[in-house]
Amino acid sequence: MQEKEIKKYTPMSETMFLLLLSLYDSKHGYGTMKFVKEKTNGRVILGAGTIYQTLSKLEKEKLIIHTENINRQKKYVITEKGKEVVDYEVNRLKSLVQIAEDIHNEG
Amino acid sequence: MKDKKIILFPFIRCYSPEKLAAFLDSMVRKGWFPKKITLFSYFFISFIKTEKKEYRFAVDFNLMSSRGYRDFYSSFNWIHLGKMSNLNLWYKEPEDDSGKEIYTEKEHILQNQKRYALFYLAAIIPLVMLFAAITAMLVLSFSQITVLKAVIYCIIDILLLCTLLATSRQFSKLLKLINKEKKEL
Repeated sequence: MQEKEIKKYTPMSETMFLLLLSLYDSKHGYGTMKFVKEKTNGRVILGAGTIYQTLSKLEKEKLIIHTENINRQKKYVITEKGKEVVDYEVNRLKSLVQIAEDIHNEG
Repeated sequence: MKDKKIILFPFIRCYSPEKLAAFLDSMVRKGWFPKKITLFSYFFISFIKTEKKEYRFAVDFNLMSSRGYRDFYSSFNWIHLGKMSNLNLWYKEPEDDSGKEIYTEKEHILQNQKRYALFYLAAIIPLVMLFAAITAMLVLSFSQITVLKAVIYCIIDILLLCTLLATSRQFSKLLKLINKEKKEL
């Protein structure tokens, strides 16, 4: 994917970033909320509406795809395009943290 | 003791989705549970007497109220109370650990408030038309109708005007809120 296209998604919201990370393994909506809650030690508890809208948007942009329906619950998983966007965002965040650490160490 | 209560114009009392949800929370805390939500809920909501409870209500506008949408919210333990047009009312147990809010992203909260504003507008337009129609009828046929009829029309017109003013006042409060939140985004 071209860098220009990736840049369209970054910088991304914390919600979108965490939801993409949660879908490296296939999950349904409730599963993504539990994943995010656990990984952030309860700091981030995403609402049902926010997850619903973000997943719809991610699916439309083909960053995730719908895999199967279990008990009328749609399951999703991240796509290669989604992974590329996450890698780009991780590098962007790393460079930001690096700047912060440099300044911190200078002080 | 009364076991039914009717609240008139619930939407005029509550100018944002959050205010409406908080109003319903407070009614349930006092032991009044909303019976159902229908198209007539714009004019009134009837409440039935129950034991005092703590529930969390949420107002959500969904343009495609599909089965998928309802199933999705249900998996987060939200219970669907009813809908009028595309306004959906949900509630859940307060101690539930799958999120106390429907929207946790500012962008989505704002979008929901904007849809509430459209909902208000959809109520204001017919009120204006009805008011204009009755006023026109009153002016044009003033010499031909009986005093009693004229008085009745006047009373209806004044009631409509009051409702219209109250709705418009709340609508402007909502617009102010939306503008404020837009700036914060």
